[in-house]
Amino acid sequence: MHLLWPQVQAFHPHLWRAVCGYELNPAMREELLQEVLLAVWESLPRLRDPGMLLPFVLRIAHNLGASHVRTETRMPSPVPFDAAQHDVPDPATTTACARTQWLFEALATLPLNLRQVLMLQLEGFDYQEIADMLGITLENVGVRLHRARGRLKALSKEEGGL
Amino acid sequence: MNFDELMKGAWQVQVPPASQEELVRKVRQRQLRLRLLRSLEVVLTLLAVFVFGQALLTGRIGPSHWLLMPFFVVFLPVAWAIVLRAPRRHAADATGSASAYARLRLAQLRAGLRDLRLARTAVWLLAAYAVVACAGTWLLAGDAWRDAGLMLLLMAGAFLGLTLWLGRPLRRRWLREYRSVRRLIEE
Repeated sequence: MHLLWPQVQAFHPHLWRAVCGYELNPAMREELLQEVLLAVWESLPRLRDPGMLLPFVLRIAHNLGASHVRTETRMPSPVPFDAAQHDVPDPATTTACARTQWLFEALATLPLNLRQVLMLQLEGFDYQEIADMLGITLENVGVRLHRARGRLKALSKEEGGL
Repeated sequence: MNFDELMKGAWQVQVPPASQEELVRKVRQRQLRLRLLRSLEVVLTLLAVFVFGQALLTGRIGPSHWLLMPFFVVFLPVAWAIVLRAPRRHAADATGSASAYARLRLAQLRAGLRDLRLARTAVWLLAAYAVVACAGTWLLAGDAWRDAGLMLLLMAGAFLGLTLWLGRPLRRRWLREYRSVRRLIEE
């Protein structure tokens, strides 16, 4: 096992969020995450600077996510909710979950080039780091972020998402 | 709270559902499955080389060898060319920047689609050869040649079915991936 593998495991939440931005189907998300982890496992020996592990693994996740082909799976038909038979969750948790679900569904409506920059910014990377990871200019990062945020804002106003 | 903070909050809430140990176990299983598949391909090739190599070296070449040899001589190299040149993602490819990866992936997918076309053509040609050879043996040759001809026809049919069965969904998938990655470069 590579020395950095335990640290990669600490980045699973980051990788999972990246995967969720490309795939909405829960089963396919897990499949894609496995694919990403396998690629990370195999390419870890190529990493020169261990301090750059997070950008390294996220670059792999975004590359594989971008070329991931969405599979059309039939969604199960919704079952009516019966409050008498189920525990009702805390309203605060429900609101947070609904926001997260809205965000990922809204991200899926964005073109890939806008989605990638926004996801990386939400992950906490600055403009320069995003430009390096995607191989684009700083100005381009700014333009794409502005457009992505604008589209999500408009969508949120329309649907009352966030 | 402003829109950006709400977005960040909603983003951070998303956490992986499976336990880490379970996830690592699944990744290892997947890795093992890929290795087994590659080993199976090597074993099948070695088996074919052994059967024909032995027949050639000992000089005991029967009707079935003569009929099946063109089949393997054409089919195996084509099959291997596809296996080796398949647009399989190599782990190292995905470590580059998004734009570099997209260009590389497009080239890999173009090669893969070309190879699939080649495989389809090869398998139809081999099926045609098998039909002609089988008909020829039934009209002109004895029992030993007829049995070999029938065997060749059965194998050709199986390979044809298998290639079409595997090739169609693969082609659809690669085409969709190609269009999706191309949009990333064009946008």
